[in-house]
Amino acid sequence: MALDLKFAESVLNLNHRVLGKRLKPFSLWHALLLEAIGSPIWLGKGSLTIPDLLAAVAVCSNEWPVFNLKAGFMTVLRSSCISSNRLQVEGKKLVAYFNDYNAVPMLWTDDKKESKDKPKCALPLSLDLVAWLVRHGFGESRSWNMPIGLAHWYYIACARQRGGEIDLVSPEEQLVIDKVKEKHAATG
Amino acid sequence: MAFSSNITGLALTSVAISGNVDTAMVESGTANAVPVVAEAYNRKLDISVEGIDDGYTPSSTLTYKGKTFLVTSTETKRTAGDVKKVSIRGTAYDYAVA
Repeated sequence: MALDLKFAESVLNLNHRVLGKRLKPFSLWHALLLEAIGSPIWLGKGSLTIPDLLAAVAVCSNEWPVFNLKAGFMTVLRSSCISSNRLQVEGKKLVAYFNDYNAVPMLWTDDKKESKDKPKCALPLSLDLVAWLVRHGFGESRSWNMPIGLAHWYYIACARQRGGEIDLVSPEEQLVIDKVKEKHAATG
Repeated sequence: MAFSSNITGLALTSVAISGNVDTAMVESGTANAVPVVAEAYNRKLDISVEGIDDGYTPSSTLTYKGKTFLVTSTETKRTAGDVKKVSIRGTAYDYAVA
């Protein structure tokens, strides 16, 4: 059976620098904070501004439980004379960083079953994942700071080993999906 | 003659076909009479197909390699990007059944 490239991507990561600042592995903690501050670049909404970029860099260069929205002096200095083009380049570097770590498993969900089994008030996803990882022996700190894609893969693997019915998108199916997408892109 | 191994609107990821023979016992119909030896059989094929939706339109039959199967169930699952996987099960008999 072919290696799942999403899984490989979740464990094989590059070092990332944005505005000259080295970022920590993108984690559940970072995702939670970026969502809490309504980061446009993480949520994919609106146009990128220097304060948004600085806030995201500040968040992603720290680890749980540090919540710091203020970028360091050098980072602010570098951003103070940034051109519009440079801002876009740095923004793309941040998106590449998100994509590198956010390689979560793809699952098939049954339309009918999903609506039937959906709880009235679901737990926040990050809390659900961290609670599950802590229960399975990962420390609280490791769980919050673990690369986000890897955290999802551990969650899925533990759930499956405990008998959970999980239908992963197989590497073979992923190839067919890619071909269908390519075909649609070519035909417009 | 070459038969198509495609199903319109479905990019196939797996196909499995199994076959068996359905037999039937027919009662004599006359009391106190030795029944005439009668045996009937009908070859039956079951198909299970999975594929990625590429404009598939649900239908009551599906044709694979020239054989038409009566669809017994269709399931749809989704994943990120609104990609759909369609799983179809069907049955075909050599002779029409009532």
